[in-house]
Amino acid sequence: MIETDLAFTPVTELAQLVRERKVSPVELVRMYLERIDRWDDRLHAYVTVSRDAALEQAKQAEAAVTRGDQLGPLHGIPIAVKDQFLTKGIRTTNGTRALADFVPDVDAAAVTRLREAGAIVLGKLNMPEGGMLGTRDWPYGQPRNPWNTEHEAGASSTGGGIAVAAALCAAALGEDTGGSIRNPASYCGVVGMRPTWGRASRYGLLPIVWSMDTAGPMTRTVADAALIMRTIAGHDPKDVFTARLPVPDYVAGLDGEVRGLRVGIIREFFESGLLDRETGDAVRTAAAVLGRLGARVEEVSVPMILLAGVIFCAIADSGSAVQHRRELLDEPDLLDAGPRRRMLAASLLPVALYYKVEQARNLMRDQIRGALERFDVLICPSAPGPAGRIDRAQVATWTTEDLIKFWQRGSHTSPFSLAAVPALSMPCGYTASGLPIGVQLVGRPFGEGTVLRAAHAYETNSDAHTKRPLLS
Amino acid sequence: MGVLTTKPLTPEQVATLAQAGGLLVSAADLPEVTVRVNAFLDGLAPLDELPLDSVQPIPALPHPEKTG
Repeated sequence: MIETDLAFTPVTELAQLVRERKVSPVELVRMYLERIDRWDDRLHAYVTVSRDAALEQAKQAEAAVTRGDQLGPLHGIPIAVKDQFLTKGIRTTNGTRALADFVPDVDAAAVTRLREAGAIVLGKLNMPEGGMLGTRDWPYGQPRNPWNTEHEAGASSTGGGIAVAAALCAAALGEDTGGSIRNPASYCGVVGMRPTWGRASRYGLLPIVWSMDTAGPMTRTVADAALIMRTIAGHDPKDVFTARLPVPDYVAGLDGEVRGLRVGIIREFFESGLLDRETGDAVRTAAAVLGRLGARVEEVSVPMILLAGVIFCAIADSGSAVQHRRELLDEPDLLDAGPRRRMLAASLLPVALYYKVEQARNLMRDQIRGALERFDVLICPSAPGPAGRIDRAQVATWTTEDLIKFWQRGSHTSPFSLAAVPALSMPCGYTASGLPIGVQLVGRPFGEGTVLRAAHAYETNSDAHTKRPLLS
Repeated sequence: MGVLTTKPLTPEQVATLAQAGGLLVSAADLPEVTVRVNAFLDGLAPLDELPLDSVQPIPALPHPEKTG
């Protein structure tokens, strides 16, 4: 197998190769480090590469294989982690200059579970400041989309989308508040899953919005997402809101069977005037594939759905303003102008209006969950179009119209965060200019298994996931 | 237009509002912060049309019986 093929090999297969001693963990870590050295000066997926510690862990992992130890499901697999998760002994910046020298002495719960399963932490991944979209001067380098480096890579698990798409790691751990896994997954042509809020622990996750933050996988295949999801899911006494429900074997559930599955295609996104034609066509084609496999695909209406973006931002920007209040008060210049101005504006919203926003959130949750009583899975675009150009994303002067449009575009992922339901983005095609298009599958609370099963059935009967970016 | 106002807030009003909340908005930030505050008021105006009177403002606590 040539090295590029090995770098793009799914985690499920790499883990098998390690167990069978056909590939060593040291070989894998060195390969990804070499790819980072070669490509990341341009792509800026990583904030910190944990070179020495990763190689040391790889040697220990190799020794365990040689000894014939019992191996975890991710034994020897190099995984990269969004810089929002605490990592013991590895710098954790949260994308901010304020934490440029912060080295935690504990791991986040999701990182602990990955390590316990045998994964090797390769490094920490780039993200906008504090996870807030709108960062203009990226403290740790301007991230670039591997499919076209003049284009953005999505946010806020930005580095995860890039590193997985460019095979600068085997898989990534992302975080999703309002779309932070699904948006970069969509823009970079990889699989990204936000689980039900409460399915995975938030312990050690630097917060954005306590009631929406979730850890989740970013991978090149659905089976890899299922494997990592199974690893990080489950009750954690350090996060009282994690569910005590047993964690299904998501990988074993990928049986390709979707006959009789009720799939609702959300009408409002196709009538909004926001949707790029190629994106709309690709998503409808993906729904048709599920239909051909025996799913019952029908349109469904979620009337409030295009209000989700502004509702989400009112909550998220206010939440971020509280998290970063000390910097806003004492060291505002440490914050990039984009996030700082977002937080300042949200800080000035009247309490009565915020109360109304939370009421509206509940109403939207009822509408989405109502749709999910009639359908097993909802399907819609992950974004209204492909990744935009970086020079256009760096808006210098915002108008009210710009912001309303920005919020409406965010309405493609944020409704499912507001409703606390699982949602997965996966590639479903490419624009004529070669940029990935993402389709989103949404499930009932704790219905990750159904979402993954439908996604896997689609993946098995399509080829968008087989393409690789031509790096240059 | 807005939920609580009938006219867009001016930069001076936004600066005063910030001061009352203990925040300092720099001269460089003030124009964009003003646009953002007014955009929020505009963007959230449609909430007035929703039947929210009997809806409780509870953030997502989806399954309390399954947690703890």
